[in-house]
Amino acid sequence: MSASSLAQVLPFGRRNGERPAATGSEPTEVLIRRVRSGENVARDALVRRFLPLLRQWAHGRLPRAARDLHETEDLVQLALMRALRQIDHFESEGPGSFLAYLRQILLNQVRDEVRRLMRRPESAEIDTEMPDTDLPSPVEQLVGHERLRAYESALASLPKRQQGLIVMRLEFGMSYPEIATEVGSTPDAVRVMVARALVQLATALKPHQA
Amino acid sequence: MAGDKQDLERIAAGIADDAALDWRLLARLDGDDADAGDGLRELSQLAQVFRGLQIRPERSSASRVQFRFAGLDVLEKLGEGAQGEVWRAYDPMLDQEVALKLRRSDSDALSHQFLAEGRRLAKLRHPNIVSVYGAAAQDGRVGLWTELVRGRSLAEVLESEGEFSAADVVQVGIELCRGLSAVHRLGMAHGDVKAENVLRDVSGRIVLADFGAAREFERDGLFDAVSGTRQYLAPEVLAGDNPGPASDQFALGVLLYRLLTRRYPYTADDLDQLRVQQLAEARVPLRDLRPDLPRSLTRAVERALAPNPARRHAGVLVLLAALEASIRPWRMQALHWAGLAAVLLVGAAALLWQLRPVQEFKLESRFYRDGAGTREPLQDGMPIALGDKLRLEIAAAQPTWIYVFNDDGSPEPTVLYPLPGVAPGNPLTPGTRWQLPGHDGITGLSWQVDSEAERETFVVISSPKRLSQVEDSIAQWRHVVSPDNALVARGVGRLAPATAPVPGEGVSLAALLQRLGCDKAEAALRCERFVFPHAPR
Repeated sequence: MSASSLAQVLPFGRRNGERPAATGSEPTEVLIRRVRSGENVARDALVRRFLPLLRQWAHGRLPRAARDLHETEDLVQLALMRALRQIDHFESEGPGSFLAYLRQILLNQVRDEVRRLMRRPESAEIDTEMPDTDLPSPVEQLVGHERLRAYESALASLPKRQQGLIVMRLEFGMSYPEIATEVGSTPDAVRVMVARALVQLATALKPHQA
Repeated sequence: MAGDKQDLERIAAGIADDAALDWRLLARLDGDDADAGDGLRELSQLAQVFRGLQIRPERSSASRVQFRFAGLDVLEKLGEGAQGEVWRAYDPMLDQEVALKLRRSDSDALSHQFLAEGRRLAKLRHPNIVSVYGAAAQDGRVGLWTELVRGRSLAEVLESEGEFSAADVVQVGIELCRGLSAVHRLGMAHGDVKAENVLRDVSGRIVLADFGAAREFERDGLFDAVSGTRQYLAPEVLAGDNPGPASDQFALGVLLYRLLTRRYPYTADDLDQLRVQQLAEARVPLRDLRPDLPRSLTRAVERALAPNPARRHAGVLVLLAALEASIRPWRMQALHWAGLAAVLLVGAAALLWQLRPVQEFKLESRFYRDGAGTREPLQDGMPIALGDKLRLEIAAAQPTWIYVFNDDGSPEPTVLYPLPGVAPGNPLTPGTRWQLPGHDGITGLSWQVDSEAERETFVVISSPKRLSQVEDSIAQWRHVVSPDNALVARGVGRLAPATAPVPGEGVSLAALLQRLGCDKAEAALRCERFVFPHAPR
């Protein structure tokens, strides 16, 4: 894949006459509503908000063969595109659930990519000394395939809202104030909500003993 | 309990804050909360990994690359010993900093062995075992790189903070048992368990480091008077055997003894003399040095120190169960004395309800003896022998609560199932041929006959309902009888009760069976007795 610039992929250009609206601090929920009603400004704001987070996240989830900067970029944009195209189908389960939804789409995208790479003959360049998994991503290398899978399935068993809180805090490394803006709450309340979500997740997690 | 819920949330908030994991708080959890606590422990680690991926290490600017080894950018020397050097390095593939242990290698054979073992270790991912990412030979050197654990060794902790509390030692012991059992399951032994090789990282996680792979090269230096290594060697290893799971357990016993007392159980300078001390068990009993410890804890540790490997715990998971049982029943103690009368009443009511057979209660149960690769069904009355490993296979047509006891005629039987920390637990779901005692998520366990009596009598109680009467008795027996009765071991009946016999009747197994209505052939209750005589020697 060639490197594609944002301008090529996403319709960023503002049409004349469209009223520019402040989007910096608007909750994602509001932005989504505006994207649904066809506002490109809101769409732009959503992408700006999430692209860096998703890019960084994808970096750790992709095997080395796919961690070429351009490929990561492509993949993340593709996921965002897909998410925005299907935004009418996205059913909010409360503030924060959009990020969980985005992450899920990106995760699927990453999995497709890994499958594609495995069919590609060049993937033989992958270190054969490390037989852990065929194409381990850094995260898999660091924690092991089984543990990651256990985590993913426990996470998927939680309500979307809680998934979002956990993903924002642990995986995307967002601060409490950032999350508070995202979910329309206060940092202190967010901290409590994240802690509760973590307890839920811990309960759902089959303790890793192997 | 509400208190526990709050504790869980406090621990979770710590994880979310990226603060050090409050592992003392974690150790205090019990029951379901302990499971959630294990989950939080795991999450705390995953969180660290996720965070490591978010923070891109400052490359080249902050630390200059000293040289490259096997694709790693080697940054800074962390330590140096007689056997080699440890470096901080950056792994571009993982985008992480790693610890690289490097040493010279003049022999191809040794290099080969080192690499083979390194690769085997690289397959292992366990929270309590240092993660090995790779091994390579290059330019006359061999290197093994692992996760970079930030923390202190237990030897350093012991030095600065003094002897450990019972709760801390149990926690350390449990985590090391988990890690070691993962190693043993791979068919390997660690071979060098000692306070210097166990790290407590900043989050409180206990990590076993420094595997044999590195040690193979230190063979010559093994018996040097360095860092007290020889005090950890089991007598069979001193006699020339290769390290194995049982000698790892011995070393762990030495480590726990040392954490509790700041001294080694055996201290002779001369190796022969050391072995003589070990065989004679010429050590100061833990109880004398730490009278504050629960009896069950000292027993569990000292059993790991048995000179005869066959007399140690049947495996590290069994040691784990003993450690866990030594500390957790404290909380239940007050509860079941207070609740006993009430529970008896409820039990009676529950029993009445059970008298209405809703559906036919179907169950297959059979004992098996595990041999080397074989499995032999044990009919009632067949002879068994010391060292035999037994399992009970259960296939039920409905969710079933199973309770297994070893009845040696004393008032308090040994509880063989359910066991703390051992899956599947109750109830057993239909559709599976369960092998009891079960597994700890790692290995299938079996009950091992470790004493010689005339016969072994097993009592199996099964019911489609939870039998609170039985569970209450189990809790009570655990308290009354002996600390070791949660062991997956046998012959516990020979231990003297730790406290005076329980007042009143109705606590013995026989009385319990009668009260349950075993003699009335209830449709929804099964009480079976299996008797296996010991084979004449």
